[in-house]
Amino acid sequence: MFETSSRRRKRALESIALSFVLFTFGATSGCGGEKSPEDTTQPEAVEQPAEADLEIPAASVPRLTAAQYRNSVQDIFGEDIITPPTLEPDIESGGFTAIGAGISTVSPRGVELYEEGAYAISVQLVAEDKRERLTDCAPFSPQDEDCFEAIVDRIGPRLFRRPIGGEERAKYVALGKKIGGEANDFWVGARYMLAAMLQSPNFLWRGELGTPKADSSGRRTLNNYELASRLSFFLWNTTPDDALLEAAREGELSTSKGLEEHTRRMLEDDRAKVGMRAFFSDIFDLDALLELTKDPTIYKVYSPELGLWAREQTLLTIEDLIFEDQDFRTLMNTRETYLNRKLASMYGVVSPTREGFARTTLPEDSQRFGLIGHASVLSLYSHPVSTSATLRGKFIRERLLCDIIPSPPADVDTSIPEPSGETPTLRDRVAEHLENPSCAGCHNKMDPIGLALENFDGVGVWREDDDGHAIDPSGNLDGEDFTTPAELADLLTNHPRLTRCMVQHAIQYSTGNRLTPAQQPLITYLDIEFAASEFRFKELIVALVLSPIFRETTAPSDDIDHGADAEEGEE
Amino acid sequence: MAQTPKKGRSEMKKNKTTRRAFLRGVLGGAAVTVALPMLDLFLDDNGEALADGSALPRRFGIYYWGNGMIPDRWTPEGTGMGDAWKLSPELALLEPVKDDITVITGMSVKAQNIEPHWSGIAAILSGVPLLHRSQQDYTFAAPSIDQLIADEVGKNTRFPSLELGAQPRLGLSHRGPDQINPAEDSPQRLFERIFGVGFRAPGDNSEPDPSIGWRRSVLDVVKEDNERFKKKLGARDRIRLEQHFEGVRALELRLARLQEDPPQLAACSVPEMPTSDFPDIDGRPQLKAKNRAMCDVLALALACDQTRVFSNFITWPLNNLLLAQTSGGHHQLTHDEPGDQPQVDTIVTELMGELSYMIQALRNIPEGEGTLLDNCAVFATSDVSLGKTHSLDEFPIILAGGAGGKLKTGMHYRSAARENANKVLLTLLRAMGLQLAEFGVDETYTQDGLTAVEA
Repeated sequence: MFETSSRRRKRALESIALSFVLFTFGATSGCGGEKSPEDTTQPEAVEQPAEADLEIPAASVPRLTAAQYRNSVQDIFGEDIITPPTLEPDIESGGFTAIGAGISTVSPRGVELYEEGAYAISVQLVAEDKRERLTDCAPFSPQDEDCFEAIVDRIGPRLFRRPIGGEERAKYVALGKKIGGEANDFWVGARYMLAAMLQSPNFLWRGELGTPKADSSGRRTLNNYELASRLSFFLWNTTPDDALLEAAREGELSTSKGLEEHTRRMLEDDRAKVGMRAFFSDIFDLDALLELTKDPTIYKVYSPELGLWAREQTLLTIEDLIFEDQDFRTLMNTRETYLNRKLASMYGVVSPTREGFARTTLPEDSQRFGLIGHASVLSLYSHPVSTSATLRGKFIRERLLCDIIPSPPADVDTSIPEPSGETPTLRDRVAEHLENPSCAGCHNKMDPIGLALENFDGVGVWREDDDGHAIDPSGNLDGEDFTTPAELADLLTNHPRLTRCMVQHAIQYSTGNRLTPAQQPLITYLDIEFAASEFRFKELIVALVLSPIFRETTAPSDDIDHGADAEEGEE
Repeated sequence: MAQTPKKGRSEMKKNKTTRRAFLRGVLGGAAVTVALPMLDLFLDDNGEALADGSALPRRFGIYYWGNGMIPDRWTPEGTGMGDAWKLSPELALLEPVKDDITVITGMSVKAQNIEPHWSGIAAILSGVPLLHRSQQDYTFAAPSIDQLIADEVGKNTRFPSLELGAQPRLGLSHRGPDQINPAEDSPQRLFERIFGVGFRAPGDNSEPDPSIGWRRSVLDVVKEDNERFKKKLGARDRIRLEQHFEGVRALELRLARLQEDPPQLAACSVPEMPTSDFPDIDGRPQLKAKNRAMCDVLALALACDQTRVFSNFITWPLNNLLLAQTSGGHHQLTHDEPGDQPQVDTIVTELMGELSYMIQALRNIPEGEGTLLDNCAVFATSDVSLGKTHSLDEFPIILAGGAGGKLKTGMHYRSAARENANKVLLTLLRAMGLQLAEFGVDETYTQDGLTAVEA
């Protein structure tokens, strides 16, 4: 069981208090010239909000993402099953796919693609060498009811992530028999029956709605199957495995003990790496690296694989921190990372391996610390032909600190001067952003931070100067001065909003909802747990899963209550 | 790609017995033979209508490119018809189609310019201001006009609409808030979708595939599941999922139609299958090659009446693509290139060259006494005018095609009074048969079409 000493918790509460104050005043409003927060030197300890006071995120009914669809199919039917190369694309909301899944629908083309995909998958499964995955039953006629039933009984609960009721099962069996009869071939019937299940909303949509609690609080409890689904998509980005479905059947996930046991089991499994990769790719937009383009005449080191490798470095580094139970804040200033030969040569260090990636420690004299020294974010948040202080600063603000940066005013000339005698470096050229009052409010939050990284060019290679001109990386982050990228990295590591932002991302991703200002207490609630565990990411996940934030939902405001329906096949 | 010259009716009649195209179906490996249509049956004696008396169908298309243009280089000299006006530098590549286009300048998108690029796109493609729910969370408030038109004219074709583009990201065709019709960005997949399994060409007398009936049975079961699933949802999710379920019903109807006889259209033939997906070279997209491959497939898709509504999102808004041998990404250049912005100018010119290609592809399809283009209304636009300032005045608008006699062509119209761009949208909607008294809301509202361009 997860133990916290009261002393650790008190220390955590104090550090949370400071961040809470800063967050409330500093981050949520626009950039229009408000003052920095009052410096309360000794903040009062913040109470962990009571569970009853938490505003639980609503059920979001997400559609399976393309990756979740493929992972589910391969986990249920076998890794060798070829999944459709094209599916309805994932939609982003505010830059996040997990939230987008909760507002997306399926276009007419998407319907076609799901239909095509269902047949492309099912034709593989009824092939002679794979039929046994569907059933051991040997049909004695094209309309063998027992064998159709056997397939539905085995495959149905896995595809729909819940038991199949009698009426439902009869409907699928009838379909199989009809077509088996018309085609005079059992396996053709089986194929079309499977295709129906693969196009069913019970497969494509996650209806983790919960049942209303008896206390008329408006909150709803997720049943075992709904919890299994939510847990599995969060931790492994795929459908629940048989062990989890079995646990749901036994009701084990209703208890904290059972829920924690399975959460920890899943975190120890390799598939958790898949899940965590999906999470961090979403919150840092790392999949955009797969399409990274740079002008190769300017960046001679650029090749089409660079984005893929840079992404891999970052994901491996993050994986280490999570699965080695490190203090997650050190993502911002760690010297440990993973490199391949290409990246090592770009970083000017000895490669730790000939092939593939291996762990390495960056040398003492390197100015590369933590995530802001990774080629991934340095190149992604730059232009194809140059760096960008604004884009890099914006990434740090929005994705690492969860600050909100409004869009620029629409009708303004946003050009900056070309490099010239008077404005040789980027710092000189963006000076206008910082002097013009209508620009400074927001750009002051971004550019000074991005300028700290000017020694890293548009693909993340270190340069001593900008075309012969000295680079000045000094600046200020929320009241704290820094003079080098290393100092900025340290400030970020200890920034009060860093861990709150991680917590916010975890809640939003796992529940599929963007949090509102009224839901700040949710973040405080878990940030305290996170701190008390010394910022071990796995412990944050456990705390989140065990909290009502994950185990409950609320009805969307325009909901019509259906809690009383006895849905077939559900608890 | 080869551009087939316009053919007279007698020429095509000669060819019918000497050419055959073979299409290999994917499902089950069955070969599907496509024969050329028999011309004489289709048109009435005047060549101006289908043999069954119905008018030749009108088609609508959008051509959209990201990041605007440079008004000083875009606006033609002179106004009026024919020789009264000359093409501007950025429009130079439209020379071959000058008589088929109408350039409209000086119009303003009247929506408030709250979100750079996006306020413009939402208003020009849907007629309604962008829906801004919160910071970084915005979407179209209403369907884009291609979808309004598809609802009107797309019911009888295999695809209510087709969305494609060389570099579309998702594209901008919306069925409603958050409901995008993703654009196809692979020429091969576009070909497969239209001319692959499920395509039945005119003259195809073979028995419909029995699997079509089975697929319909499957969809019946899926539809039942959909209705059941909907019941547990709240109102908002119900509406969202209903879009999905509506798509399933529509697919089922299309399958039903597949079991009937295919349409009889003279110019329908299967295009060559694109042999490449034209990957980027050295970080630069092969924009022209990809666009042209797709336009060739699109033109025949229209000729075979597979759809009557299309949209070509050649590049996406705010894209930072390395185009036209420039030294910077497109979006970055619009903001950072100094002075007259010659590189931005080159990009826009090239994008208008691709519009020219698409218009020519439509014009190369003979139809009745004229061409497919004569029965089209093409609407070309962007998200802003001058990219540097995200301006919504001097908005770029080019129309092409006569819309079956509803629109003038060969004209430059310049608004003297920064008229509401929604007037153009209303004209287009009415030309496509929607009987609308008004279009837009609040600042974009209008009851007037742009009568000067109406025939």
